[in-house]
Amino acid sequence: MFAIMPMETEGHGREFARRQKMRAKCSVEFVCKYCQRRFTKPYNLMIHERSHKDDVTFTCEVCGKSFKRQDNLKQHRSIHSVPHKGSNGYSNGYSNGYSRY
Amino acid sequence: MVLRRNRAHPPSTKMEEPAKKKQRIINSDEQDENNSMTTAMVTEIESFQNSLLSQCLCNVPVSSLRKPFTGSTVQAGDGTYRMTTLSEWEPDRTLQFISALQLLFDLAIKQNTRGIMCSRVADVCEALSRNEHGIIDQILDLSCSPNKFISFTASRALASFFIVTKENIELSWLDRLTQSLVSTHSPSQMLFTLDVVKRVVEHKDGSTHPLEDGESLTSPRNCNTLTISDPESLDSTPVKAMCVKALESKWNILVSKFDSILSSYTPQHESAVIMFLDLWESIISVKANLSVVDTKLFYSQLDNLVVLLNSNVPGIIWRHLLGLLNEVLCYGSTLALQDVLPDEPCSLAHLVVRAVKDWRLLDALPYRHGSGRFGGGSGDGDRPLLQKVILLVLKSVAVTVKETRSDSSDSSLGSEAEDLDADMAVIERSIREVLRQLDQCVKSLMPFHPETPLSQWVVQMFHDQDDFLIEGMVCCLDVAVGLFYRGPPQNDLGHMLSPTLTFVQFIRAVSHDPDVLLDLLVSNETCFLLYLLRFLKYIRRNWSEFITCCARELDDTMTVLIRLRLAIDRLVSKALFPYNINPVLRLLEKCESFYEGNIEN
Repeated sequence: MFAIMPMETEGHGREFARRQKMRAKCSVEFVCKYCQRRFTKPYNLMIHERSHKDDVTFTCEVCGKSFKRQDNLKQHRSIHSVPHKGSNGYSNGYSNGYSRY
Repeated sequence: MVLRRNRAHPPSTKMEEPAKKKQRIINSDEQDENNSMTTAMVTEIESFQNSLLSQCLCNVPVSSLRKPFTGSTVQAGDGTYRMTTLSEWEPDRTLQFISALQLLFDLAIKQNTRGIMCSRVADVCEALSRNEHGIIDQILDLSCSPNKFISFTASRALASFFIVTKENIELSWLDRLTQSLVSTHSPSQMLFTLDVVKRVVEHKDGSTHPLEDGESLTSPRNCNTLTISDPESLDSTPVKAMCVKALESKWNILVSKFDSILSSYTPQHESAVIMFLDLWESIISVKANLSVVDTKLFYSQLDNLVVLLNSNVPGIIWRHLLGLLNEVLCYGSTLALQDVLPDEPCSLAHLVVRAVKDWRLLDALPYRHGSGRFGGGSGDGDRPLLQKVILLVLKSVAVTVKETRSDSSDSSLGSEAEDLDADMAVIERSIREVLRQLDQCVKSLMPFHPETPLSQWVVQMFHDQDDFLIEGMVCCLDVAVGLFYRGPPQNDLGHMLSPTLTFVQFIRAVSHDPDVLLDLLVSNETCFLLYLLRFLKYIRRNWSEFITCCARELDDTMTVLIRLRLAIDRLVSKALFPYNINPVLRLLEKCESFYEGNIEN
């Protein structure tokens, strides 16, 4: 196996030449704006760049407040639902968290 | 300005004192006077701290604002007066002063992020950045303090100061820091520099504490504020680069130094070694957002670390070494997405593969041969350590396979078509041996059924660590796709790496809940987008194998995928999906159409 790996002097020359040619062949490159790593497909670059970002926040579509977790946003959404008091006095607002908005 | 010698309360017996200059004997009147001066100083600092807590220094008179920074004086032997330095103060007073500075810098960072600063806060930071009163040099001197509390507090404050001051920091400060790291034999002095640089490198611009909402950061109504309009004022990249550059000039010496410390390891160096490895990991981490060109040197000399993974090194050091090596092999975030892999991770991956295969690396895993075997024989032992070593092996195997495939499959390079087959056959034999040893190691340490294939235990092994789980699944999938490019093999390796078995096991682990998959897709904490994209491509190409492998669980599995597609559709229609998910959506639709065709038939 290691005959084709760079650590083995035997295969090193061939390996090096291949790498140089591979690099030359990949002429179209998409460069990461954060770390300058190179990718040959724009979607791969997009996937990579996502990993640089700190975290994703979930934003409430009604008031714009942001949450780190989607379940927290779902819980928050219930405050926008219209509390409709039934005869028993308890709220029977929208249980799924989605309001009329 | 205070022109008198100041003596504070007797030092606490619980803390060690910094080295002091010889003090002259004082009489009781003088002591009373000094005590009152100390009380005044403490009050000044407390008032300074209170103002900082209310986000504004506008109401603090300039004279009292200066006092804490000008310090006090001491009478030398020849009767003349000179200023005392921080290292001569009583420990409690030093700690209180440095903590106040820390509070000041942290407030400045937060206000800068918000774009509105109290002008007085900005002025004090500016004065300190000009090293007025030599405060920064005095903080640097505290790296030699025998009092670990003072040394720790000073390193934290210095890191925050660097972030506030940005590229205006003096290079001589960085030189002093790195030089002391090279020349000292004291672990606490090493820790000081390592801690400062690590904190700067790990700083996240614009991050707020979860407990701090926008309102708690509002300045009082009468605060004289400055509006920060320069967008670069939020960017700490230049100061990070300066710190890394300063370290770079001494890096080879430092690696040799820590290499020799690790070779003859003693527990007194534990913290310094851990901090050094963590700093190294932080510098090369994708999350650090540092240029790979600027940090190239930090990818060298990694091979020695694999050699250090031996039974002479305790488990805690193993864990940090493995953390660093796993970060170098940033497979899910980077390497899996590149067509041409850099030399350094490839070389590391080969070495790990070789160490497992030929030098029985897994046998040296700490706790393995202890009295009660792994972790003393009860519970799961050191499960995180085992998880890290499994991930390292899986990543190394995936990098090795990927590199061989991308090199050998390039027909334009003059290599014959059979080159690929020949290379892959050699690789496959070695990979099978590595995975066999990994399987054996895991089953001897964990209570898995002897017949459970790697493709299933990988999910069980990582069920409490979603980033490891998904990256491990990507590695297994890529190894399977890379090795079985001529169709699934009719041997144990096919079962061992079956992507469908892994996916079905994963779907079971998340209780067939499509919301979990959606959360993983939206979040960027794992590489689930990459995994799902590649897995869907795999089953599109190998649909009949997918159906056979799912067997009775086909309907349940497809239900999850269909519900996931509907959920993505809903979000996309409201333009709520945070990125372009269309490639995944199209693949889900394709698989759904295969499934519907299947039902009709």
